[in-house]
Amino acid sequence: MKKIFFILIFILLTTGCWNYQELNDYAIVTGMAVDYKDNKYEVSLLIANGDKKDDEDGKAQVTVSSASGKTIYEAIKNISLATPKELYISHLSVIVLSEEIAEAGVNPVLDFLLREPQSHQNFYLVIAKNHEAKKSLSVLTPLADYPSQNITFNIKMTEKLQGRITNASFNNFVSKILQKGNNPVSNSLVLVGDEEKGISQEEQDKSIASAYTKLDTLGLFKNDKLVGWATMDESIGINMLLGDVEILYLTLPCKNDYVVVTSSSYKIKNKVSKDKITVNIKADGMINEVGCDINLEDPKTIEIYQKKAEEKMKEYTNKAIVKAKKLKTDIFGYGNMIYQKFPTYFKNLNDWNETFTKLKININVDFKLKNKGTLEQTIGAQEK
Amino acid sequence: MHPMIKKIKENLGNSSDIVERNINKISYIYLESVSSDDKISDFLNKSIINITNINQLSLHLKDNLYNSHVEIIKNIDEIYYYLTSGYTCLFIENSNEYIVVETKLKLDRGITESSSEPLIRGPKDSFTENNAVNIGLIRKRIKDYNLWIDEVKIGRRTKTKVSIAYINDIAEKKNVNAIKKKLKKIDIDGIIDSGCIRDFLEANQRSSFPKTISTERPDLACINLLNGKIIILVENSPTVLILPACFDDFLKSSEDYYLKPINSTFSRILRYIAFFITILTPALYIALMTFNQEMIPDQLLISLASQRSQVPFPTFMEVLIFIVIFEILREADIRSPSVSGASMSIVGALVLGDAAVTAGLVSPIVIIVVAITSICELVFSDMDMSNAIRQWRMIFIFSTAFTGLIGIVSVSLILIIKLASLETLDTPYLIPFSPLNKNIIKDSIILVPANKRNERPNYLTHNKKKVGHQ
Repeated sequence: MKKIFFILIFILLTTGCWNYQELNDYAIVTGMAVDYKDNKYEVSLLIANGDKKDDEDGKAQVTVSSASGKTIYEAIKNISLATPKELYISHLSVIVLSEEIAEAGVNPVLDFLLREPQSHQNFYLVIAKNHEAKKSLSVLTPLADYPSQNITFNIKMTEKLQGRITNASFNNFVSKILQKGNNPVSNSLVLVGDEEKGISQEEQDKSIASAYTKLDTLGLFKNDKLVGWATMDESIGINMLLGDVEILYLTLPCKNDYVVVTSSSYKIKNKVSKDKITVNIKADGMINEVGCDINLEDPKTIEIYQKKAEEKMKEYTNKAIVKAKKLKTDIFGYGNMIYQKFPTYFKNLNDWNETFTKLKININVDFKLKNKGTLEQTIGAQEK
Repeated sequence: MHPMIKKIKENLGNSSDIVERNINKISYIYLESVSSDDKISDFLNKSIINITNINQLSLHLKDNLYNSHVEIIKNIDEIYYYLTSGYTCLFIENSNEYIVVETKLKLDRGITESSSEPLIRGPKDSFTENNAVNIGLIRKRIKDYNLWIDEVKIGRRTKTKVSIAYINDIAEKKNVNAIKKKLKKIDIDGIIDSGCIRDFLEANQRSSFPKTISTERPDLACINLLNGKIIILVENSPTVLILPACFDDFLKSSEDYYLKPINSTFSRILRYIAFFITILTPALYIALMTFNQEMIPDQLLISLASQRSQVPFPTFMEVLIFIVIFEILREADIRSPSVSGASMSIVGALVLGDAAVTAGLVSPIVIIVVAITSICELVFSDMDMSNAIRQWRMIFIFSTAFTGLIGIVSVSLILIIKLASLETLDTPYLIPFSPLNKNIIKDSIILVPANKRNERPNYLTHNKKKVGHQ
């Protein structure tokens, strides 16, 4: 028994708390931005400051520390020279890359994040469209405690509710680069307003923010390089073809005004053959807003708008396909589907992206309007 | 005066409570501290005075005493046991036979409500210090001639009656014999409470987990008797021991059987959850805060970091300080008279809870952790069980302080191995989970309705079928 006791004691002592670190000694990094300036990477880290307590509700405040270096690693080590705590990137929730880096290729940044044992690789990746990546981490908004939270929550919420934003988590992004016959897309951020004012702490108490970041259209990648930006319509089309849509709203013309229809229970099925992809889209919908005077009780009217919605959806997807073919990048992963079904055929192809431009893609949409909301008729029709 | 009386008085050191008297060639002696003067005057004196045939006293005296409990003894040494138990000892001139007559003084409180194991629904009575009353409380519930009660006297000086109660055709004979054998081997000065003989009955004494159920509730004792367990009642102790006990028994309450089984199942699941919470929470907190921060959600992590920013101690010390303080507070609360309870709660709630945070000694989350831990501990009414949990909680805390989550995993393994290796009277401690026993899992973490539970636990008895379901 004594022997066992001593062995236990020594086991405990010789392990020497290999991983021990008090929470107070960590600088919790929640966001990371990478810019490219003067042939050097400028890395900015958004650090949640646990030590500084807000008087009222103990909200942690944030600081952005940045430093530059020839490599990402060097830049981060340079930041830690100016930080009294150990940088802790396990809780990284968003990484913002500047447009230059995206165009030059994101592989060096990805490599660091994939290799780093602390990184949990479950964060979002966005591209800063019209501004320095650093600035999107610095803008404080009233609704979220810190900018990284603002961006991640924004992506999480709108991704489900709109279909304009893709679920570009880091894992997802990297796996698409690694897959054969697949290319990633990413979300982008634009900065609106006066950025100089936006970085002040007082900004959180204001009811109208002087600056804020907004999610914008998708960026199309070819391997690890950004090759172009989609328009809003194209973004919706891309997400529809990726099946990355839960709720989608469609604005349909009627006389001189519009009818707004949302589709829910969106389902997509791809039929794959060597030179042809058939996409079957099935969705149910409801009417959200009627701007003109139409008779909703007439089944024919409903049918007309079902047709119109189907056409609108086809239009979105066609636009997306045209764009992708124009940029010669298969962001829909059709190459991968063909590779999985006909591996030998795929291996004999020289360049899939070239073949992709000639691929036939048929789109069938089956849309059903099942609900008119809580109002049976239009207001105008009910007055009569 | 009978010569023996003088000798007895000498042997008792002429203690002040000895009373003696002579009537008609008959002398008697008793101890007034344990005997009832009324009984002696009313029955003994009257019956002695009424005796007419003085010549053949030794033949007739026993038949003429108005008392149901009369014995003739010849061994002088036995007299002392009877005297100290409240008997009156009669001597007849020129005779070497002695007659003892029961004249006990009632030195017990009455049957009261159980204070340590309260129930909402169910019988309210509890065992007392009187052995006969305790056996009565059981007999009252089980009117079966198969309820057998054996008795041994243990303790060289206390000569305490220890009764073994079991239902003859249910309880395993070899278990009864094993217990009797163990009890007969006990050779100590005295037994004051049933807790004193437990050490002699349990194997694996190094383990902190209890292997006998201690209860004040006669209804719980009877439920266990009917299942084939054996009950040990000790004179002067309101707590009876139930053998053999397994881990699962400590998470049961007799109330479970009186409520709807589906609701009882829910409370039993809660008790199991409480067991894991109370044993693991502080260790888990330390592991997450100092080793595995990546497991804490983002926002909580930042909130925790800002809560801890004021505290100068390592998390481990912080938790340890507070847990030790709380344990001392609890210990003090049990020992102290109820009068000082109010000041205790003020100190506990205000000073330790609120002021410690404001002073920057501990972070608020640690108070939550310790509070959850101790609330969940209160689920266990058995003191030994909660002490064992307390001990293992400490082991968990120390191992995680060095190794993080790996410590929790390895100590959990050790704990499971330890528990699985325990047994009482050939009953595995983790039954019905290990080994898995389909027959009694119906009355463990889940409780199926009584009409579906038609078999007795098969590890306790060969007579499995309950009557009425045959």
